[in-house]
This record gives sequence, structure tokens and C-alpha cells, in this order.
Amino acid sequence: MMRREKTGDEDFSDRVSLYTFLSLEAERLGAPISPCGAASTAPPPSPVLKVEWGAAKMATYLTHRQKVLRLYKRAQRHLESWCIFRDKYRFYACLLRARFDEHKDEKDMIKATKLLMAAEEEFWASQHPQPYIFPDSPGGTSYERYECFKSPEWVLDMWHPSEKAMYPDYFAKREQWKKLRLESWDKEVQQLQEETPAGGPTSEQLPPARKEGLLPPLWWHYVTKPRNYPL
Amino acid sequence: MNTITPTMTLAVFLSLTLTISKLFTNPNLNYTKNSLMTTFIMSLVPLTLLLNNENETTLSTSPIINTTTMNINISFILDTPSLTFIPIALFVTWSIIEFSVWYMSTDPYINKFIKYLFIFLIAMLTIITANNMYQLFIGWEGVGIMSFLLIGWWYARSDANTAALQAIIYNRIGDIGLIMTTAWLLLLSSMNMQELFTQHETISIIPLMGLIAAATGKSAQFGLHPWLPAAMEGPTPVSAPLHSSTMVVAGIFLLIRLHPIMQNNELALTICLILGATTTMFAAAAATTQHDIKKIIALSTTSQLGLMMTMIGLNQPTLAFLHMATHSFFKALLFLCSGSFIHNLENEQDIRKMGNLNKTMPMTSSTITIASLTLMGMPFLSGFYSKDTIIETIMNSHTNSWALIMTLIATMFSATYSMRIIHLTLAGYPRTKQNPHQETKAPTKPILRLTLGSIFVGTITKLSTLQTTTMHTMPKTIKLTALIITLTGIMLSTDLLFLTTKQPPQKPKTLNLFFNQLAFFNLLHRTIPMKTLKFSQQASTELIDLWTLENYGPKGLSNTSIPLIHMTTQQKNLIKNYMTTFTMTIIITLMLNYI
Amino acid sequence: MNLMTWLMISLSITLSTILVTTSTHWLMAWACLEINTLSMTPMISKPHHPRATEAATKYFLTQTLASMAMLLAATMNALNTSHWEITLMLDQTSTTIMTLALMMKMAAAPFHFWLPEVTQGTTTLTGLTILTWQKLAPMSLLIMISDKTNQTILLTTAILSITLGGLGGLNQTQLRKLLAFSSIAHTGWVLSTLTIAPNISTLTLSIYILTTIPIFIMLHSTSSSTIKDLGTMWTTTPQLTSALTLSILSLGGLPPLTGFMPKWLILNKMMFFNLTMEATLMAIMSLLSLYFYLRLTYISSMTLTPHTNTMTMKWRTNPKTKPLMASTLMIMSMLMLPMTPSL
Repeated sequence: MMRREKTGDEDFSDRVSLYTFLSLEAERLGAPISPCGAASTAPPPSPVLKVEWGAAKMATYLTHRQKVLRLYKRAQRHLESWCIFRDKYRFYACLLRARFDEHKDEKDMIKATKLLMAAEEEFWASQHPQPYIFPDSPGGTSYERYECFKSPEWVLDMWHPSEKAMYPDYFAKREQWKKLRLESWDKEVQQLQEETPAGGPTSEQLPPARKEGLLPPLWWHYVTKPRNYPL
Repeated sequence: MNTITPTMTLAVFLSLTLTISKLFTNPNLNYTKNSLMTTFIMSLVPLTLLLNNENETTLSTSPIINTTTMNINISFILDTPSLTFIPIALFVTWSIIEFSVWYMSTDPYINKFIKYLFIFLIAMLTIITANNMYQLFIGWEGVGIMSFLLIGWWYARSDANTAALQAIIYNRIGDIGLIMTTAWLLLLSSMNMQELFTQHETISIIPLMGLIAAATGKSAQFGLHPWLPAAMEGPTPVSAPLHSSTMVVAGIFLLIRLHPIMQNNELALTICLILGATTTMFAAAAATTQHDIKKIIALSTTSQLGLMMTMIGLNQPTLAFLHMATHSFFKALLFLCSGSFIHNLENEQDIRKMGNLNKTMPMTSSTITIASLTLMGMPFLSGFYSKDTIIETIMNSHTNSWALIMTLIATMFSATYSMRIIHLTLAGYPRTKQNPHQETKAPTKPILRLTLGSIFVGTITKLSTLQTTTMHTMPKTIKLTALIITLTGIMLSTDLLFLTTKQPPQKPKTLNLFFNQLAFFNLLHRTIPMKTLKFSQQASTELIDLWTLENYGPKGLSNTSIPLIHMTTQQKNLIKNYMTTFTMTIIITLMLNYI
Repeated sequence: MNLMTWLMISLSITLSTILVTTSTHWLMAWACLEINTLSMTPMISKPHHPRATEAATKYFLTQTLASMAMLLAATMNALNTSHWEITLMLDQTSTTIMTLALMMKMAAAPFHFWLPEVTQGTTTLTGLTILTWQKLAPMSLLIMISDKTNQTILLTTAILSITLGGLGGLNQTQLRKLLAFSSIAHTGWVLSTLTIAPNISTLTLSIYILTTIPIFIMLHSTSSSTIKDLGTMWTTTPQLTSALTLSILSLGGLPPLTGFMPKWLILNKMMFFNLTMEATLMAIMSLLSLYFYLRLTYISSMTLTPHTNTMTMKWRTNPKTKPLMASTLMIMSMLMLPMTPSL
């Protein structure tokens, strides 16, 4: 069986968010983080990586503000299921906005919480029996429809040379990418560590490449992303 | 002359089978539709002969399995229903396969998909031509298993797998009835249809209930209906044959085929009538509340099947068959058109997001309008000839007026949901991103063919077969009921649609919720397995694992045999004991000898 | 052992058995059985090991007791009927004593105790001789008097043998002892139809011998003496090990194999003679034996023993001589069921 070069460390999944990346980082503080293994120098354990998981906490406790905003968005989206014509939707969306705006300066937290509760109840009571779901969202009509044609990208490394020879261009490019990945990995990690704020990352978004000649962090996962639809 | 009909029919079967086997070696799919076209034309020959001579052919092989009590042989019945429906099934499948070659062209396994459709078709033809219950059962199960495979085509989707399972489970519930009836007939009557029909005494209600259960499962009548809307998880070219000419009509066809044995049983007919009326009303009402275009069409199928069931309940199987025939065309057409739309809108199926499609896809829009009008029963389109006759017959009969009202309301609803589709998808302005493709030949040719079918089949049937019927006289209101009801439906739906555009959004009514959620079948879906599994778990852990197996099973066995083993191997190496045993045994034996 | 002695002894074992089967006179039969016992005793004690000597002593004592009983029965018969004809045992008492004595020689329960001990105490091949060849002589005598023997005694012994053979075998890890118990159980099967169908009994015994020989040869050639040794047998002869598995199952009487044939015929015959209860009991009790046969098959070929690295793996170079006899007999012991109608 063909083995990849020693890349066990960075190969966590095909789509990686910054959080998973950092969690893996934190697990092996001080360990060399490079596709080349021992060849790289271990980065000094930065204070960033010792922070507890703000991201994980966020899911359990929402601020009041977040709760209200989420309810607002849900309500607006839900309204689309009721008012299918855009003009009508616009009108009722404005009304909805007005109802939210009415209490936006509420300072009394007890009152605000009660308002929020009432609003949630109203939303629950008047929700649509069949809310509109985008086809490729969970529950939608084509969600995961083409998953059966997908295979993770590392499978390509397992192809037989004769099979690879059928797509010479792609595999030549792939070899180049692999080389590039080896070269740029340390820089990508460095950039990520530099740009992660002290309290942990604030968004799921990965930063772009900042300097001339650098590649965006974790670019490998974008170039090798499996296609959503069959050819 | 007499041999033409069976030869042609068997040639159709053979040709279909050969096409499947050819697909293993030849990946080019174009010849599949050509072969279907040829078989369709071939199957017209026996139909022509039938119309001319009105004769019925039965074709039997010599018995394959001989038993002391009965012989099992392959036997085909080529009478009016089978010879009429074979060309229809072939025509519809021809169009659908041509369409699916285009629709599924990006699918890596399209070859397998086409093969599945062919096997599906062959299974249906087996049902149609079966002359004994065995053969019918083979086709019946073949259709069931192929629908399972096709509904679960996108096997990565958990919803698709659930839907496929639902289909097979609901069908299985019905199949129990069919198996029971087959066993009953095997014991008390005959498997062979002709022998069955010549029987004099009226058959008991139990096998008839089995038949009705089978038809309820296969044709998704009320009670076993939830699988049909769920089956929309399959690709659109699957839904089309499933709902038009293959799977779901098999249940109705079974009742049409075996109608002679139930025509004298009032109870069975009443059950059919009530079941059919409930289904048609319920499904039509549910269709008006749905938003997924395929689900609306699926529920409209259920509603039409209910109508056919009502006809069987009215002792009019020919009318049910007529409706089944015309329904095949426009239902396949509706599905193909909606498939075209869905493809156009990048898998968007929600009619809330469609709109303005008559600008981007004018041809498909006009065909879907024609199909909807046919479904409503517009005069002189195909649907009119069957639907109008059905309603006239109901109005003229001494039937239960509840069933009559249900059917009329359902007819009105059918106009309503059809208008709803037309309004929301074709008119207005676009509400989502459209990716209009050219209406190329590949999708439009089959659609146009089916459109022609939807327009003319009724007229052709009328001209070719109904010449001999006697004239009925009836009051003008009764004659025009169907039309009036349909027009009322159209007007009401148009008005309501305009009205709701202006109305503020409201809380949903319970009735709406009831129909939208298909009578809350989910509750049952969750409770029944939950209760069964809980009960089984308790029974198995407490009764079997903790009690039987511990005390009487392996544990108990070893507990009883270990002392025995120890006892038998107790004495070791003492020759004195051996000798004593021998002597004692001899003495005891001799003593016993003399006692 | 000296070659001449060995030749002499084997010859007398062979000849005495043959002479027993051909004789019609009780004294002749008795004398030959005595010769048989006397020749077998040095064979058993061949390894010059206290255990072997003990086995030889036990064998000698039990056989002598049986012979004495036999002689007593024959003499009683001669006194009453004034002839020594084997086939004309008219006296009921002497027939009973004779039957029991011969059962002791055949090691049927409740006189079976000596068999596992003796088989375990001697070498594998001598054990094989005791289990197979040594049964022929008493068996032939039993068949000769079979029309006079008491059916009840035979059936009781048969059921008891099957039960005790099964129960005894369950507690064994030594292969020779285990096969001795299997022999006891089979003796039970042989005895069950002795009066109603002696030919089936003969068939049962021959098929039992046919199946046991390859198993013992295998055990001998791989030097296996405990169940544990079966676990590593595959390292030396994988093919024969799998064949051995099937042979053992055949011994247990599983349907597609030869061993099923005698059981089938016996049960059928017993049902025919309205011995349903007995037949059922025997069939159920033979499940006990089946359990330890299954244990053997399980260990020999269905699983790898969880042995630690301290246990040496066996290995051999390819043997120079092919086990022709074992493989032929194994095939026979597995595949003879279809021949049933022609037997």
C-alpha cells in the first residue's frame, strides 16, 4: 500500500475550521507541527493556545443580545414561508422589524427577558407547518443527495499508477501542490498563530494570505475540496 | 391469425429483457428508447386485433411444477385490460426513459438506473398479463422491490432511505393480504383466474378483505397512504412511472382483474367505496396544503387512485380501468414537466420559490397547463372522458350520498390544487435564481408525446370502443355536475390565491395542519416502532436473558450437567471398585432376571 | 521391544481375534481371548513407564475377570445343556453372565471404567488397538449369541453407555481419554441394535473403527495428547487438520458425513421396533458427546488458541512419507453417506 509522506499530523479532515485546527494544536503543545515532522522547529507554546474554548462555550450560553438577534433572523426567514410574494414579504418584514425595534432600548433585563420569552412563544405558536428549506440545507430536497459520489481526497493517493496515468495533468498538478504544501505549512501555521486574538478566534473564517508570496492558511483543503455535484 | 397476439406480447417481453442484457455490454443509452418505441409499436398490433375481434387469449405453458393437488404453470391472459394497458405502459415508459436519459445524464450510474426502470416495467407487465395468482404475486413483489431500489436511488440521503423503507414496509402490510388471499384460493378455489371466475358459489369476505388490503397498500389508499408522498424522495423520472403506469395502479389493477369474484359481495364493494371516497377526499385536501410540487402531484395521484377505488366500489371496474389508462398519460406528463422545472431551478422543488416559468420555459409551461387541465377534466381532453363519466355514474347510481359528496369535493379540490400549481409556478415574477436551459429536444420530445397522449387518448378511446354503448338520459344539472364543480374549484382557488396575497399572515388552522401533515402519520410512525421495540427489549431481556437462559437454557443445562459429570467421573484408578461394580451388576441382573 | 517379540505378540493378537471369530466352541473362544489378553498386556506396558505398567495391570485384571465370568457362564451352560456350542446358549442365567462379561471386554457402561485409564496409560497407537481391534472379538461373540440375549440388558447398557460416555468426555482435556469416552458412547450405539439388527451393529462398529483410525493416526503423527495441542496442529499439517475436524464431526454423527449413517439406521430401526422412548433418549444423550466433539473442532480449526508467546509454535519440514492411510480413511469417514443404499 502506498503511504503518504509523514503527514499524519495535519491530516484531520477534508474541511477544517479554525477551531478544530486550534484544538488539535492545543492537544500537542510543543510537538512539532509540520508535515515534515522532525524537520521543522517546534513553535514556542503561545498563550493563545492555552485559552479555554470560547467557541465551545458560545454554543451553550448565548447573551441576551444574541438570543434576540437569532430570534429576529429566524422570524424573518420564517416570514418568507408565509409571505411568498416579495412585496408582501417586504411589508410584513418591516412590521416585524418595527415590533423588534419598539423594545430595543429596554434597559430592564427582567422585562426584556419576559419580552423575549413571549416572542419565542409567539414564534412557536405561529410557525409554518412546512417552512421553506433550501434544497441543499439539512432537511432540504437535495441535501446530501450527491454525497454518495464523493470520496475523500486522500483516496487519490491510493490510485494505481495506471489509473493516475489517465489524468496526467491533474496528478502532475497534485504533485506540485503537495510540494507547495510542504513548503508553506510552517508559514501558514505561523500566520494563524499570529492572527489569533488572545481570547481565542472570533469567527470561523480563515484569514487570507497577508504577505506577498504566501499562501492562505489551510489552502490545501480548498484546492482539494470534493465537488458537490457529479460531473 | 390467432397466434399473432401471444407472439407479439411475448416478443415484447423478450425484447425488453434483451435490452436489459444489452445494457451490460453497451453503455450507449440511445437504443433503449428506440427499443421501447419498437416494442410499443409491436404491442399496438394485438390491441388492434382486440378492438377488431374482441377476443380473449389465454396462453399457458405445460406445467412446470407438478404436484398431486395442482399444477403450476406459466400462464398469460391477453384480454381487454391487459392488451390495452401494455401499450400504455410501454408508451409512458418510453417517454420517461427518454426523459431520464437527459435528466439523469450527470449520474454516474445512469446505466443501472435505466436497467432498474426496465425491470420495473417488466414486473408491471407481468402483473398485467398474469393469469394465475403466483405469477401475479411475482410481478407484484418485483414492482415492490424495484420501487424500493428506485426510491432509495440517492442512497446517501437518509430521507431517501427512510422513504424507500417506508414504501416497502407499507407495501408489505398490504402484501400480507395478497399472500393470505393466494393461500385461501389455493386451498378453497383455484389459482388460475379462469377457473376462479367460473366458480359458482360466492367467495367468503376474508380473501376479499385480503385483496382490498393488498390494493390499499399498493395503491396507497387511506390508512396506508404515507409512503406515496414520501416516495417523492426518488429522482423525478422514478416518480413518473411509479405514479402513472407502473407501481401504484397495480393495486387497482388487481381489483379490476379479480373483480368477478367480488362483484356479488356487497360488503366488499361498500368497503371499497368508502375507502376510495375517503382517500380521494383526504388526498385532494392534503394536496392543496402542500408546497412541494412533487408532493402535490403525488397526492393528486393518491386522490385519483381513490377515485378509481370508488369506481370499483360502485361495481364499475371498466370505468376505473379507463381512468387508470388516461391518468397514466397526464400524470407522467405532470411529473416530467415538474422534473424539467426542477432541473431548471437547480433542484428547487418548492412552488413558493417558483414563478414566471412561462417566460423562461414556455413549452414546458404550456404542457403542464394542458396536463393540469386534463387532470381537472376539461371537456374533450383525455381526463374528461374518464372523469366526467365517473361522476355521471356516481350521480346516477343509488350510492351512499356521503361517498358522492366526498368525491365531488375531491373533484373540486383537484381543480384547486392544479390551479395552484399553475398560478404559483407559471405566473408572476421569479422568486428564486433560475438557470434556464434551452428547451432542447431531449426533454421536450417525450413531454410533447405525452401531451399528445393526454389530449387525444380519451377521444381515441371514445371513438374506438364506446361506439356500442347505449344512450343515457339524465337531467342537465347531473350531466354538467363535473364541469360545474371543476369550474367552481378553479374560480375559488384563483380568488383565494388573490385574496391571500393581501391577507396578513395568520396562525395555521388545525384543519390545515391536519392535511398538511397527512393526518399526523408521523405520530404512528414513531410510536409503533418505539412501543414494539421497548416491549421486545423487555421481553427479551427479562423473559429470555434473565430467566429462561439463566435457569433452563445454557446456564441451566451446564448447572445440571456439571454435578452429573463429577458424579460419573468420581471414582478413579481403584481396581477394586471396577471388580465390585462388575460383580454387583451381575448379581443384580441375575436377581432381576428371576424376579 | 525386541523385533521378534513384537512380531510374535502382534501375530498372536491378530490370530487370536480371528480365531475367536471363527470358533464355535466356548473353550476355544475363551482360550483365544486369553491369548489375546496375554499378548495385549506386554504391548500396553511397552513404554516401560510406571503409568504404562499400571495400565497393563488394570487391563490384565479386568480382562481376566471378564474371562473368568465367561468361563463360568460357558461351564454352567455346558453343565445344563451338555454342549459347548457358542450359538446354542440356551441357559438364561449363563447367557446373562456371558453378555455382561463380553460387555466388560467391550467396555460398555457400567464396566467402562478401565478403558479411559488404560488408553491414557499407553501409547497412542496401542490405545487405538484397544479401542478398535480389541472390540472385534467380544463383538463377534455377542453377535453369535445375539438371538438369545436379553434385549432389556442390552438397551439399558446402551443408554447408560451413551450417557456416561458423553458425561465423562465433557470433563476431559486428554485426547486419548476423550476418545476412550467417545468409544464408550459408540459401544452403546453398537449394542442398541444387537438383537434386533446385528448387521446394523456391525456396520456401526466398522464405521466407528474407520473414523477413529485416521483420528488416532493424526494424533500420533502430530504427537498431540491434549486438547490444547489441537490448537497448534494447523502449523504442521493445515490440510489434515481441517480434515480431522470433519472426521471428528463425523464421529459425532453430523448429517452430511459418514458418521450420520449408522445413527440414522439405528434410530430408524428402533422406531420400527417401537422403541421410540429409548431411541429418543439415545439421540438426546448423544448430544453430550456432540458437545465435546464440537469443542474439539472449535479448538482445532475454528479459532486460534489465545496462547501466549511462551508457548512454542510447532513447525516441521515437509514429511517424507505421505499419510496415505490417514487421508484415505478420512475421506471415507467423511463422504460415505451417499453409499448408504448399497450397504
